[in-house]
Amino acid sequence: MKHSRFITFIAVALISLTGCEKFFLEKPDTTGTVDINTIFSSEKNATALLMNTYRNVLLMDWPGGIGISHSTLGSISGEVGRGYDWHGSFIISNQGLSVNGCDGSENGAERYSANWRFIRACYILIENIDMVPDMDDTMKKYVKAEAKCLIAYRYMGMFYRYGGVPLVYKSYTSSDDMTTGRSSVQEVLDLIVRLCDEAYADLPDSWDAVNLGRLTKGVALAVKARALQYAARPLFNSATPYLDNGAANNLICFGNYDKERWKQAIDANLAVIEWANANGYQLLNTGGAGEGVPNPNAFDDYATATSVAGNPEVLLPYKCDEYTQGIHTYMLFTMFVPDSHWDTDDDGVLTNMLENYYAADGQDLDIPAVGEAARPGSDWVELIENIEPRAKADIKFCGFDSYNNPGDQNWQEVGWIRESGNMAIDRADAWPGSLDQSAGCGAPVKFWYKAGTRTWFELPLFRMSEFYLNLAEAYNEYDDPQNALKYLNYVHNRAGLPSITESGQTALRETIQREFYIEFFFEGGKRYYNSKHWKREDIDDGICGGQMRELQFSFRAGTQAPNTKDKIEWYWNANTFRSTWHPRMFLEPFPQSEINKGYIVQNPGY
Amino acid sequence: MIANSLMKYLLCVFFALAASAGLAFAQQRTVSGTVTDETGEPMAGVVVIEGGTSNVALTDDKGRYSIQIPDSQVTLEFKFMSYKTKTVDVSSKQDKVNVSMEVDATEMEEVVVTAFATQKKINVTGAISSVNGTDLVSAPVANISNALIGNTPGVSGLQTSGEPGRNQTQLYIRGISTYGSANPLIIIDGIEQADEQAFAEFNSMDANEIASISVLKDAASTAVYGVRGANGVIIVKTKRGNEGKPTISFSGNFGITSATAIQEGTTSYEYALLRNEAIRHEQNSFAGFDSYNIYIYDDYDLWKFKNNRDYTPLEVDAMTWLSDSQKADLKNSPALFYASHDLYDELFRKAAPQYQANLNISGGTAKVKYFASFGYFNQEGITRTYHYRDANTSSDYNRFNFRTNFDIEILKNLKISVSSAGQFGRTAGPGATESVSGVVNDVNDMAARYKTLMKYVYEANPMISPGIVEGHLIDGFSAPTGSMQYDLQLKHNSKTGGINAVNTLLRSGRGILDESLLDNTIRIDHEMDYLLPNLNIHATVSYQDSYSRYTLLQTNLPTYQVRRNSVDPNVLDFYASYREGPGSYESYGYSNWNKLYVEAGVDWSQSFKKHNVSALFLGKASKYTMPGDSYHVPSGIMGFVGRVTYNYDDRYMAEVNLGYNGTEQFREGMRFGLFPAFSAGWVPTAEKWFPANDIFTFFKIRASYGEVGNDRLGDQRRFYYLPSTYNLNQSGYFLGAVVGSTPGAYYSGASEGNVGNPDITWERARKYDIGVEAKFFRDRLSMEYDYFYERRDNILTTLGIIPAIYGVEASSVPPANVGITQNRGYELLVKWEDQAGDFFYSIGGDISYFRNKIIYKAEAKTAWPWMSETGFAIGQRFGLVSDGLYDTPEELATRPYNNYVSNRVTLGDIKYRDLDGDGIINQNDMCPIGYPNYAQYHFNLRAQFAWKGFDFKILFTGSANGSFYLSDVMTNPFFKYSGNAWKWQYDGRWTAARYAAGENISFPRMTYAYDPTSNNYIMSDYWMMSTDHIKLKNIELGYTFNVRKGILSDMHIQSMRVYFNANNVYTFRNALTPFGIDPETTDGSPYIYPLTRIFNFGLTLKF
Repeated sequence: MKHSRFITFIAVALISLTGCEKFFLEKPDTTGTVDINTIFSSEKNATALLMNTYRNVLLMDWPGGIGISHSTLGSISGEVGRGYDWHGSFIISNQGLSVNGCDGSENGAERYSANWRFIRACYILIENIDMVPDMDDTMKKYVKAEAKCLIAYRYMGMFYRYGGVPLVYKSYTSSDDMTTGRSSVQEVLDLIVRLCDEAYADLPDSWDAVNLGRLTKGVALAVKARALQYAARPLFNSATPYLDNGAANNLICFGNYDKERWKQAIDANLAVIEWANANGYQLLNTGGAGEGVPNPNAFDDYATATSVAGNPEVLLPYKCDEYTQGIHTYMLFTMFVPDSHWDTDDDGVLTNMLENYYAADGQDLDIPAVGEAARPGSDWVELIENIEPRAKADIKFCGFDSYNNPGDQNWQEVGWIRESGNMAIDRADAWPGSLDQSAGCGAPVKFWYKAGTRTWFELPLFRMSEFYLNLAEAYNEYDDPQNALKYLNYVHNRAGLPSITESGQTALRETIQREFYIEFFFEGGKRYYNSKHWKREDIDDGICGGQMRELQFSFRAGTQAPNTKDKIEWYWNANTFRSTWHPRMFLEPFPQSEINKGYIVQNPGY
Repeated sequence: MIANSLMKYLLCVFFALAASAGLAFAQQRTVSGTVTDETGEPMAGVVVIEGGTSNVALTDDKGRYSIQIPDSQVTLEFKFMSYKTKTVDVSSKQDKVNVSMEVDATEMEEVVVTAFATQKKINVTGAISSVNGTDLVSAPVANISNALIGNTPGVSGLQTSGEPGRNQTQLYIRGISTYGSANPLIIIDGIEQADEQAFAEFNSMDANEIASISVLKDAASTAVYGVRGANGVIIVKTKRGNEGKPTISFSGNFGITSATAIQEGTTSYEYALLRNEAIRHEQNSFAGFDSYNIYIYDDYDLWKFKNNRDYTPLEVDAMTWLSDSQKADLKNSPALFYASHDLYDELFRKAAPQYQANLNISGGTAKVKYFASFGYFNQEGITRTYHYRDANTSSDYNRFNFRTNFDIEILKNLKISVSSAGQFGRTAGPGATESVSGVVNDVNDMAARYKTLMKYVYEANPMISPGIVEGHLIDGFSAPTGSMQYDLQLKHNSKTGGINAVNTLLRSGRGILDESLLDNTIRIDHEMDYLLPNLNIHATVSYQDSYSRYTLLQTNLPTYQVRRNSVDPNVLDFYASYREGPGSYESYGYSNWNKLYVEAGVDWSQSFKKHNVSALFLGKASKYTMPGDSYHVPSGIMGFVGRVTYNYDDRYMAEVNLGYNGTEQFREGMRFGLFPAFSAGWVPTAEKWFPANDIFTFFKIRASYGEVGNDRLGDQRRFYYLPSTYNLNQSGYFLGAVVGSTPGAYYSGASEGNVGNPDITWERARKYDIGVEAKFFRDRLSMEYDYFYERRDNILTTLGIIPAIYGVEASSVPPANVGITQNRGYELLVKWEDQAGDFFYSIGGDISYFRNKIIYKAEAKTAWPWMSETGFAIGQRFGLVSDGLYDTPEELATRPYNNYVSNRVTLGDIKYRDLDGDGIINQNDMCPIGYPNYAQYHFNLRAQFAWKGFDFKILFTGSANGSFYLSDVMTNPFFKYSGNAWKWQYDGRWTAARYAAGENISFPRMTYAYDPTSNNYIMSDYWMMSTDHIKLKNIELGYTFNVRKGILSDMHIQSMRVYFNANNVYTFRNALTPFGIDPETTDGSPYIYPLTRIFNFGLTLKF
């Protein structure tokens, strides 16, 4: 009897404590927590995931998307100055690409791990979009195709940066085997082409006004065309890689030269132009003239094509229309937004870039060589007044008002406030070459045509002139100079310049590449990656590496602001800094922290 | 103020009492007799004491004694080691008293407080050490954690700061065994403290409240705490009343605190010399420094710095418009612009007072027993007080404590214990405004606090600006173009302006942190003898509640620029730079937390002949609520405890302990775990076959094995088990047409957030311990030795091996329970205790040693084995290995390329080893350097003496195999071009001349331009300083007065003791001495508030 009371007591005590578990060990209230089911429970939420994915996937090669972040790839490919000494571009220029990134983190010129995060988001969309109850099947089909095309876009980027990379076909869970190593460049290319073909099949030709800016069939073709163009270029399309990689040569080149790769590129680029013409996209040439005739409206057409949102030359813009983005901050040179405009102080245009432009009559520019005597300021004024329209649209030259925002004080020397070139005022000792300001001959103002006080612009991710120049390059390599010249001159004439007639393959190759340099100045790192894939012999001599040169300007004694062009007394060309180049830099390094995990091998030389 | 006048009163009383004590006088008589032991043998050396006094006599070798006592004396006491003290009634005025002494069995039966019980020490099979309350009181410090240091083996710690209210020690038991949270569990009167507030109540306790502290170190003693026991347990037991008339005890203390170590600065003259030297060396070494010529101090400047004058006599004589007396005044006028300020001295004063008082009363009847204690503590900080306007920069810590413990026997078998405690603390001092963590005025951000205070000691220099001149707070010199001070400012090249430490101190405002904590516990004990003899049940409910608030008061002080009058330079002109304005008042960090703890259990013990059995079973639960927590979920823990003990004749013993508990941290199904521990002991000396002898008198061997857990996963987020989350309203994208400057429609984005890990669970420790206890020479020499080994697994670890192709941001990849560490070591304690006549003494010491190692940490493979943390100690630092300095151009010419500084290396720079031999110094040459901050060895040496009324205690502590990393803030001179330089740099720097002369060189060349020449400040072993040291930690000398007659007796005072004690008294010279750093400081932040020492006088009165 007594014992049973005791046992009852114990039992009651135990039960009451157990019953208290809910009281003592509370669980967090997860109602309202957003999980994967919430995301795919409505079209609105699923679209939000898609929109974040657009924003992240498409930001590649531009400031904010690249590891060097505060600067552009132009700062490490001889277009503009290398930036402040704490900028990633300055460090790369100083010591080359490094496996530990420019600041000890994983960042090289591009964030490696970012690719995988965004590809994961695409796969999550593909795998789950069918769950959304209030989205119609057509839209689901589109979303899947968009996600595939976005994956292809990122793979294309990794393809020309790293060569072969691991192939991922789904969103991983933490228990999956993730020891997948790198695949060959061929396998990566095949995946890109396959994804593009699948996306092409399901994407629409156009979107309604509300959805303007989403991917179309044309973009799928464009991704494929650019990928095949890189595949055909000498860096990959070769029996021997740029550096021997032993048994793993197939990770950094195809292992043979196959002329038919150029044919594939031709077909892909023609397909883009064909689709574009059928769907209202065009190389903007309002001069109305036919082939071979300089376009009288060249300045407006080129400036519109690069700057104006919704213009018919842009197949895909990056629609992130807010100035808080790094892209805009680090590509905006005026003072009118009270933000980090000073970040661009040391990003002036180099002579290395300036000398690519033509004079308006199609001749080469007469720029003083380094060491040559200083020339009078009037000579500078004449040089710029007679430069080709694209240069005027691209650069606000030292002492000049910007041509691309006519009548807007913010874009004129008087409202510029900052130095628009390497200026020496009251400095009798300035010549030769004692200035080292990285402000160059002027500030890049491309993309800001008639921008006024707008603080953002839409980056052109695919612009029609790319496919014309791709064709010029591919035809030239495919031994068809006639077609090469034809497509080159589409672009050259559009720029208001007389036709080029050069037909020797080597010389024409140079001319086509020069046209790329001009047409795509400051545009998404094209000079940086193209030069590497062309395997330019002079890549270490003023392109990615080697001597960088800048014009310098001395103003008359006692000059007061604004420092207008009439006050320039002398100008000259000077060696300013040297940039580092090593053949290993033809491809980017994988971050050391990833190599340490043991699943991938590093590119050679690092 | 109250404390001040209280002190004065007490001192008056004290002197009056001391004087009167000596005047006591009475009629005397003589008592004599013989003392024998149990067998009738005479005993020599027995102490005979006139009860309640210090009048003593000794027995001779025949056991005879004789003592003079006053006629009125009623008792005599007979004392001998290991024997029961006998008190004999002599009130019947007999003059012959023979006494027979009995061996004290209870002394052998010393009891130890263990988890949920007390046990006879002989029966303890786990590794437990204890400290009694009187040892804690001997260290006159604010925090119990500080007082614990040196008093028990296996407990060690470091201090972050010496600032009042913030000077507690981070304690570790048996070192550190995990790279997660290594906080021990604190139990106060049976109540588990929340891990989030582990030391909150503990550190604010008044030492006078504490009866004893037990430190539980092995699994056998901590397994019952289950998921909270892995890092060891500290059990505090407060005093409770005993049956008897009320005893009132009062103690009052007055102490002086001062910094234990302060860094010595250079004079302005030395500073100028050093900077010139640095600039010239750089100009000679590297191109592009020609422009630094303007920063060179010329010979006139140097003369002025050296002679503390702003003008040379020639310059004064050239001022023809001055009268002769004006000229003479000016020649004797100390420098304003060329002065030399010791910024440490201007920031810190030499000494600050500390007061403490405690009044407690205890006693009881058969039914009700009580103990009540009231304490007051005040410690002032060593920052200087400037009476400038109403800026209050004094720094102090004030605390009131009370604790009342009642034990009431309601029925014969029903007892209720009601315990209440309150702690009310106020910490006030200079405001913290600097943000280090990103949160401005985060009171818990110590790095920010001390950066605010110390920044301008490091970033200013001896001549940058005076603090207060003629009652004006100075923020720089007025320096019009063309003036002498203008040129001087250019040379200073200061990037921080003309602000010195006094200015920031005064302008930082006053931050006040008020904290209160109430702790109430009710416990009911019920004896169930009616069911089963010795069966008890009990239930406990406890509630702790704490509030705190941080208030920042800032006065808007007027500041001035100063210059010498251009007509009469003897006159100083002041120009207001900031006018006086309204002050500001801000209140931050209002927070509170509370904790509910409940426990109910049953225990039983019984003896069957020589078999002794006991059993315990209880359930407990606690819930810690902090309204500020982002999840709004209290952290809780609940579980069951089971224990069975058995011993046979105090010879063989065995125990099984079980903890079964769980926490809210893990998902259902993973929450609860079972933690068993087994232990056994044997006492061979109690065996019949063991020959009885006087040499080897006691021996015990014990061993334990068990598993314990740790559910605290370090500073990581909670609830990893929740499923992966997505975030809405992330950055999105624009669609639709752009019209002019108007973008298309914005669609907000969504993205993947935290990825969950449903399998998350507690960290598990497997602990082994083997111990021996021995006594020799009739127990006078005692010794205890423990060897332990511990292996932790399931340590929550960030996975460094998941490839980027996973596609989850590194910071969102959920950690997993994969880490493994081990820890091993020993504790050895030796003590000799004896008496010679009426001289009692004991000398003892202990050594503890631990060495941990990371076995697995899910790290990616590194290029070289020395680059990974796996295989090295927890907290191991990595850096370059230095190999002296580049002394000659030949050495410099053949050096490896230094990747860190674009190869800008020159003579006098640190030479680094190229470990991988690739000719480049880069991150591949970073290897483990030095030891972690926490030392591997700790030593304590204690001695105690008592003779008649005198008592004396001394404690030495020390440590070995620990390192302190001097960060570049401390070591780089001329920070931001005009920061401070230190005497040790001046004395030890490399110069070609000093090298050639063979002088002692302990510091590289002086550097001026920070960025391009920072070769010397890359993390390297050059700046890893040993913390090995020996310290005179505590010392105490006391005297207890006779109380027979006089004022004391009239005031019903039974005894009075006066004493002097001190803490952190003296540190013998060690590697950190030149840098002014106490070796018990943590090296987490370069901005250090010096640790303090205390000299204290006190008295205790018993009524």
